[in-house]
Amino acid sequence: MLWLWNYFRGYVVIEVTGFSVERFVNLAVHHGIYIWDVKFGKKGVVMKVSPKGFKMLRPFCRKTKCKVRILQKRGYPFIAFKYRKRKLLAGGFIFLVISLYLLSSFVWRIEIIGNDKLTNTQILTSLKSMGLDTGRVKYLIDTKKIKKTLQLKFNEISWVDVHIKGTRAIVNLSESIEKKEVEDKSYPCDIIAAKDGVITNMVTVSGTSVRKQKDIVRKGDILVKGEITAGIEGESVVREIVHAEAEVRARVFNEMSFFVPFKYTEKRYTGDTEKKYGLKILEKKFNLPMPGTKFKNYEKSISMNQLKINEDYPLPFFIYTEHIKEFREIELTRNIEQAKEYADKIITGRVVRELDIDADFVDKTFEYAQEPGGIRVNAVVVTIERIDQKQRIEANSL
Amino acid sequence: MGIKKLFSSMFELPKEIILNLPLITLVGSEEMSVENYKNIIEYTEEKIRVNTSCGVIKIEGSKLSIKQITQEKLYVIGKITGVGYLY
Repeated sequence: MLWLWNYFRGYVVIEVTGFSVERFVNLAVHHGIYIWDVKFGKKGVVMKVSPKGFKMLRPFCRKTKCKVRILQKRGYPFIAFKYRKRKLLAGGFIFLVISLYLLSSFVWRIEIIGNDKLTNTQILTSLKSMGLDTGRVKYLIDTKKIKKTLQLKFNEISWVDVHIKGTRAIVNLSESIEKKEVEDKSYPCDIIAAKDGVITNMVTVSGTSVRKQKDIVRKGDILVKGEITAGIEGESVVREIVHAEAEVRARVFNEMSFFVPFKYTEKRYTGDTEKKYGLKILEKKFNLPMPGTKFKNYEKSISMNQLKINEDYPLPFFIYTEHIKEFREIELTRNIEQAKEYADKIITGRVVRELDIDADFVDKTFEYAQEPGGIRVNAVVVTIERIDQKQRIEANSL
Repeated sequence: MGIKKLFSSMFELPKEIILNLPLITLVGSEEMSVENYKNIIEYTEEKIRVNTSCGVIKIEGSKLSIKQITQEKLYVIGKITGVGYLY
């Protein structure tokens, strides 16, 4: 720390030569001159002394017949003296400080943390209407008011905090726990089949089952009637319309038919890439003048980098990089065996994609038919899945 | 002198202030400070002689240099091998 103090005060490195340097140092010290770092140099004794003390040294030189030579002038006062006429440099420095201050007094980025159901754009647009947007002066933003209005506007928000850190506005929120959707059981209904199939098992919670296990059902058939009869058979029978509930699982035959051509194209990356750079200031893009891509077929992806002083002070400048990857489309042909393999892959993909999570995969059978330019595949995928579906009983049908 | 010595020992006062004696502090063999010195008699890289009120102090070593020098305190750094009095 003493080093920093000395730098701001400035100091002179001198070399003293003569018969009695000791006497010279003694004299100077007794007159209150501060001397430090006394070392032996090539010719004489090298020491450091303050500029003020240096001016007082002359009478001691004469007295002790020593010679003093300045080796270096170090420190801030000397640098300031050297650059005293360079007004533009000083102006530039002041301009830098001012522009940094001005730039850091705006909000340049809004971060939203903790939203799950609410989308970012939903929150951002409402923030915008409340005066919080990128490019606004951060001192004029009333975070308390924004907090309150956000909470009133969105019922999903149970707690929210808005604060400004550097040039970032951070919206931290937590959403209330989702209310479990209560199934509406107020209306009377039947259970019908959603698909064709053979019933494997059936659990009726309420209602009267019409069909039983091993029955073959068609799509739309009533499985469970929303009707209960109470009382002794033949006597005073009370009929009540209810909301039927049941879990019906059935063996379902899913038919699929598609065409696999022999000729196909495949994307293959050549490994050649190009990079293009551009600058984005706020919302405006500036492309660097660069020649267009020389590739015929290519894929483009853009990555963006925001400039920032540190984590809390992002600036409104973005550098974006376009990564361009070249690929070539190759025409390939496959034989029947490969086509069959490919068909199998398609079916597995479809089963995973289209069928319910509850569905159990049982079996699959294929049929191939040769056609010009490819094969037609007829596949039957057998699964066991839920087929119950509710159908409202209309009041007038009673 | 005798009264002062008695006085300082009676009240347990620091002698370097009452009697103006030098106070030498050694930090290992690399740093040394001499307080209450009068002046430097000789200064080379191997030997420094300092005049004090109770005789001359001789500091021996190699690559000796004066880190700081004020009216009250002399601060020497380097490899110190010996310190002694010359009467």
